[in-house]
Amino acid sequence: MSDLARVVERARSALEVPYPAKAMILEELASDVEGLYGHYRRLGHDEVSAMREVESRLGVTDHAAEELAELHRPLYARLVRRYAAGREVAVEVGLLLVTVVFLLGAGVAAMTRLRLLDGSLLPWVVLVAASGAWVVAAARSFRIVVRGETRLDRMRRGLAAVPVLSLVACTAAVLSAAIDLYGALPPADVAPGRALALLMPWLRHSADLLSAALATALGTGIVWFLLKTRIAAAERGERRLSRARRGRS
Amino acid sequence: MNNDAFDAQAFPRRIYEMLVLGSLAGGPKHGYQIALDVEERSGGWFVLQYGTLYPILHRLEAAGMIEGEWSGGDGERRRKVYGLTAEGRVELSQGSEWVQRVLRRLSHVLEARDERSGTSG
Repeated sequence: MSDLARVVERARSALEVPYPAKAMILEELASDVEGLYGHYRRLGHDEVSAMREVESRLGVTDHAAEELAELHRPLYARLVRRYAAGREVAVEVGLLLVTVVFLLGAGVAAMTRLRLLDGSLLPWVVLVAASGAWVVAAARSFRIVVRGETRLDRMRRGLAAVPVLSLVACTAAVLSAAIDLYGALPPADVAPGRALALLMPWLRHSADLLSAALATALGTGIVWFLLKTRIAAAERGERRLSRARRGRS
Repeated sequence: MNNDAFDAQAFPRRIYEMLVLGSLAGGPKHGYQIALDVEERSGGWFVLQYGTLYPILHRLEAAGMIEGEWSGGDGERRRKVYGLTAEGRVELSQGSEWVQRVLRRLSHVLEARDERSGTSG
């Protein structure tokens, strides 16, 4: 790693600024580090001396890192730091628990009202997987957008669970509909005149369950897409940084 | 209490903001060029380190007084160029007046002290 790149890497570890702003700041710093280094070289400084000048001017101090972090911190993070400093984890765990209880409770209430939790296993699988998808989507949105994530690897963590859980919910809903249909068919065969009346409960039950699973897949899919777009913006910034660095090494 | 009273804590920050705005009044620049310009035009009196320069640039940009634009790309390093906005020009003009006012009040206080010490001596 070149000395110039080391200045940027030191800044990366010092800056507690959420992505994608962090990638922008690092890119700006990297271009200024190169520009200033070129300036001192043109003035006749040798490599070591030019580098020393650059580091003395553009080295990131703790004070600068804190000021930049404060400027780019989302509103939630600023409020928590002001009113609940040192209790950030407790506040987050509290919010997560409230979200889990609310989403699971809302799911159970809605599915009970629609008479979807009829004792068989698969509707419960739909409920747990769909609630899980919403909880993960809400938790990741909170960490990435509301609180702000300062490390790229932590931004990506856990996001894949959203489409997986949605897929589980949809698959369980389809399986439940198929199993219920096979359960409803023999009585309908025996009494063809009452077939429609016998199949109606299955139709309503399956439509409700499938709708719930598809609504979850659609809703969490939109959240997942928006979060992926944000992560992609941060990754683009990092790629630009490393591509330009490789071009100069 | 006078609402327009001098705020000693905000003074250094405001001075640095004026320096950045003053430098950008001469045309758009990269961050490091602003630092070099300020140092050169002040005869080495004002030295902008990363710690002062970048938070000021980002604060002024958030306040809409300066505008940062990325240039370059396609494999080469993108560079951010800052330029003064209309709001920034107003702030610079008001800031220049404020600096003059601070200097006038300061010299007034110092002159009054000189007169008193001259009388007592």
